[in-house]
Amino acid sequence: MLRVLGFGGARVRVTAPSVARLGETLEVAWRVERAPEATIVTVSLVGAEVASRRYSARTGISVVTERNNFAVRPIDRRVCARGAEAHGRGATEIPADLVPSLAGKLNQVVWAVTVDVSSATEMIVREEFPITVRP
Amino acid sequence: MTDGVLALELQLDDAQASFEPGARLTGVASWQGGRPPTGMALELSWAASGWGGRDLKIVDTVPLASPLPAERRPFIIALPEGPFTFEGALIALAWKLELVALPGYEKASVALTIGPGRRAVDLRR
Repeated sequence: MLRVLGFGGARVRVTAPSVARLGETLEVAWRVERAPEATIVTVSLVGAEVASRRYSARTGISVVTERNNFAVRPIDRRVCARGAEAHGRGATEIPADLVPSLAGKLNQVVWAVTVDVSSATEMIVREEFPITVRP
Repeated sequence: MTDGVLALELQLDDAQASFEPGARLTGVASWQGGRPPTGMALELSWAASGWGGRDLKIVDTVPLASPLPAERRPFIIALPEGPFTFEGALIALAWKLELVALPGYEKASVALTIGPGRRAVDLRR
């Protein structure tokens, strides 16, 4: 699976399986292009529970979502120079003692590879690449 | 046999209500009294209850054909690989097995735990 997203000039590419199993090792390759300044790239595997609530009103239906990260596993972390292309690889084990993905209408368990591109002072890009984790 | 009320009971073998994912669930469904049921079924389901509401999924329905007015019916159900029973900060997921009688939809249920090591996963660690 190869997915590309670009924000604020920086372009993030991640190559990883779209489906994995609990207990497996997840291997990830990543690339950041056109970073606007010196950046720190942090790649992680994140598991989260996401609960939504629907509110109905005369003006329509709105959905409010709460999120709780229950797992954050580091995959890679690099510092790259302004305008340079950064890339790397990393791996982490999907913890076998946690839970697989769950796709309810209101309640979900989601897993994703997240890529944070930040400068010394602020976040430039935070992007998620979803993964379906099976039992 | 008593009149009026249909008494339903679910008994799991070895009084065991915690299972590994994919395990085999065995037990006995029994009923007596009241009007003779026109139909009887076992329903295996999970419910994910969260901050914003509940998601419910019936995973398996096992019809118990031609029920007599009073009966003890052994059953075997293959449990799925997931989802696991879990408790999180926002969401909790629980499994149950129900014995459902028709036409009145009387029910008996038992809570099940399905997870690695036959334990619920605690996401609040």
